Amino acid sequence: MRRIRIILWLLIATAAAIVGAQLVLQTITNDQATRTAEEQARTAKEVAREVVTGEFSLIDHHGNPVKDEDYRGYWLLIFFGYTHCPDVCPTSLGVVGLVMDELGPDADKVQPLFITIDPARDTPEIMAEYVADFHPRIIGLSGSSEQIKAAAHSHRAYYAKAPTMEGLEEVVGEYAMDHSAYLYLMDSEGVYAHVFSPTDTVEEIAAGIREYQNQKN
Amino acid sequence: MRTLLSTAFAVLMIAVTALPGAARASDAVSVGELRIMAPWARASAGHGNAGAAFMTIANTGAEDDKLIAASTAAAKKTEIHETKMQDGVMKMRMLMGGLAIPAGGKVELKPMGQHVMMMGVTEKLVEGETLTLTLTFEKAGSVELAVPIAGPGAMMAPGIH
Repeated sequence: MRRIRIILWLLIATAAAIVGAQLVLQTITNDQATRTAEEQARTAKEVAREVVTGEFSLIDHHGNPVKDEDYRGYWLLIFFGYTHCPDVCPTSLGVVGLVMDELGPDADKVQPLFITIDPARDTPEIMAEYVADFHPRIIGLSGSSEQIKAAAHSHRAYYAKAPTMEGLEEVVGEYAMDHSAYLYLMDSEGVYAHVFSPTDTVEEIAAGIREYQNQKN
Repeated sequence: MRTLLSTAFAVLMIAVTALPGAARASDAVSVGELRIMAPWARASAGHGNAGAAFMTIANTGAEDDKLIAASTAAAKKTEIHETKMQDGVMKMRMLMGGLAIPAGGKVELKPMGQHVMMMGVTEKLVEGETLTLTLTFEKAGSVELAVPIAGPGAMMAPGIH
């Protein structure tokens, strides 16, 4: 009888210990989750500043070699795309053109760049013709496939030939590209400031640029 | 005098009814139970190899229909596509089974969504001009549209603000 009582007490103690340990574990995990969320919010920008170096060495639409350093003093508004793009790129470049108009005199210190991710088709001449139809201030950049790869990497931009269109290439010599569609804002010293989403409005982007410019001054 | 008055009245009535009537007629085209409203295309930018056309299609009938094909003499190939953002990556894909137009519903083809995609554009799409586009529906059949061409970065049909 005494043995049974001891065993029972032991069982209760074990159960209590398990429940207690679980509670403690849960509290620690919760704490960690809260801390991680806060840290993520605080450090996202620092991480972006580290990884989005904004470096590039490309050919502008006049055929001249250019580097990111050549644009110091200007806030860069960078978009990656391609001229055979029927929807996203014309939409985004149209938005960039309207943002430049919306900024008025504040646009003088902003340089929009359109970097092709399809250098096989987008030569500097083709880029020149294309960007001119959206805004006179937009500069189109092309280069070798290695140069484009490096420029995309330094912005953590993604691109790849779209898979389902491959059969089409044989029919009409056309293919589409998948690509990230963010609009990067780099400050006048070439440091990452912000990425705008493809769904941001002209007003939101213009206000965002002004805000970052004011913070910097 | 009376004839003159009634003639003037008749002319006035015709003018009043004809003007908005004409505007409406050019805005919507009917095929079967479908109404196609405010079609527009984007002008080619630069060499202009790719193009897109947009519109709103309403189904006033009791049966579902489907946009299954599109064609134009201005491009080598015309398809129905959808632009979708996945994890920040824009992907454009052909809608293999066509675009459903549900009974009593309305489908809007617009930038960054569904569109009629023209590939290998042979005649540059010029702002202010008109593109002839044929749409084929599973049930309603085919219809030819005169599609006004807006600017290369336009977000909506010309004349709508």
